[in-house]
Amino acid sequence: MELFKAFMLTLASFFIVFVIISIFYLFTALSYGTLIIEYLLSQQILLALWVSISSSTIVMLISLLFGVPTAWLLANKDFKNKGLLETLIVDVPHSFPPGVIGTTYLFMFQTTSPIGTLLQNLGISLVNTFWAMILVKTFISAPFLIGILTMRFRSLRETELEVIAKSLGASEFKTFYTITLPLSKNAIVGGSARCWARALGEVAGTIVFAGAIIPGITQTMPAIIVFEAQTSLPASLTLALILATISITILILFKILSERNQ
Amino acid sequence: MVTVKLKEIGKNFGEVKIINGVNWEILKGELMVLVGPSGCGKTTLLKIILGVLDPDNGEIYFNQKLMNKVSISERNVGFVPQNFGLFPHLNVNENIGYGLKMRNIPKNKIEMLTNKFIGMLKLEGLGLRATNQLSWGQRQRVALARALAIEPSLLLLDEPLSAVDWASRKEITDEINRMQKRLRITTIYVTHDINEAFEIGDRIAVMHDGKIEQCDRAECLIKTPKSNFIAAYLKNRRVGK
Repeated sequence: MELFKAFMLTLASFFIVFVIISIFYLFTALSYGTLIIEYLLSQQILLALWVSISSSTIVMLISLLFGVPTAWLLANKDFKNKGLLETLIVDVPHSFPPGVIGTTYLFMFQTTSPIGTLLQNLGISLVNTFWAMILVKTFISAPFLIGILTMRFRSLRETELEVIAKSLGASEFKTFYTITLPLSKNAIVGGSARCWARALGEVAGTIVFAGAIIPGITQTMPAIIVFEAQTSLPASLTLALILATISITILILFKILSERNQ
Repeated sequence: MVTVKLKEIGKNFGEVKIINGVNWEILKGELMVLVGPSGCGKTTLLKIILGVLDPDNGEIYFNQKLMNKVSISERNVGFVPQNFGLFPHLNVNENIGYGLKMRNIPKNKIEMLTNKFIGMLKLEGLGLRATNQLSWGQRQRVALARALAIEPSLLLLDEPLSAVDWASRKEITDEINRMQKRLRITTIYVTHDINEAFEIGDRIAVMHDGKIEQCDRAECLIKTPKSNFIAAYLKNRRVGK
């Protein structure tokens, strides 16, 4: 038993140290103090930050709008091949390299494809736009929210609280509004945070489908970090530090919000 | 208050037959106990009556009205599950008043009715408490008050003592008996404990392998068991009533 404990503890410690060192090594970029100030005053960086944060927030809101009903359906309705559908919606996007998604969308929405032609006839062009970035990010990030919410809705179903609410006269909507949603607040906040963070960090799919080079429209911080890494490592590390600080701060705010709900 | 009648109710889960042609009648105002070993189909049958599960075949009547297509929220059935099922984000008052609120009853009337059931079930002073701050006995009484507050036509109690400590069991069975006699609500009380069944029920329905084997008064069950299973099952009973 002692040997088992020592074994588990050793492996866990290695992993924890690995993660902590990885995170804190980023902060060595603090030594480039003047560079940080220079970047924080740069209009290009501020615009990239704005694009990154606003696009991730829009992706989170879209994911909530479509993800909550999707998770509710997966958790509460029984139908044929539900397991397969859940794997497609929740698990497959996790395992897809984002660059592959970008390429797929590029192919799907190019002007020679049926969808691309249809959109062009309607005067809509998606490739290399802000909304192309939103599309890629949503595909990659929404499953984080849907997965967490499906688990929560499923565990709620097992408690039979929704059945009791209905037996007391609540309609399906009132049950959802008065029981399911309030009892899923933490899952909603936690899932939204993960979805937002994933969208913020997305880069490969954005570069392929949205270009990620137009300042203020498609150029995001992660894209600049990747491009800078090829020419100037200090610049890349400094930008990464700025993005990570903002990201961690916002995730801490999500965490505080989640704990307040408990 | 209704007479409940089940005709040839059947339910399968995949290939497994859980309920196998149940014919059963619960009279108006009666306290009927449904007893049987674990896994015999009691909870499934209860869920069919409640409206959570649809039977594969057969008919359910409340008085003369066919209920098969009536949704759970329109059946007006009070339900107390094994684990009480109190809403953890609502306090005692809000739990009891939940069903009334769903019926769009005015706030002042909800308050009045909630207070009435708080008094009836001896929960005075606990109205603003969170449900996790209550004893097992108090939680059971809140769940009962919440089910009764909607003035149900039928009350379903699924193993109401299973999550209750031994010290509270007598108190709760007495409470259920007292309430049932006072309000004369048709009640189905599910248990796997034959002693509990004999202590509480007007009549007792013994279920085995998805069928009601016999439904009778306690003394008739003892005197004239209709099957070897019932005779053997009753042997587990403590001598008493």
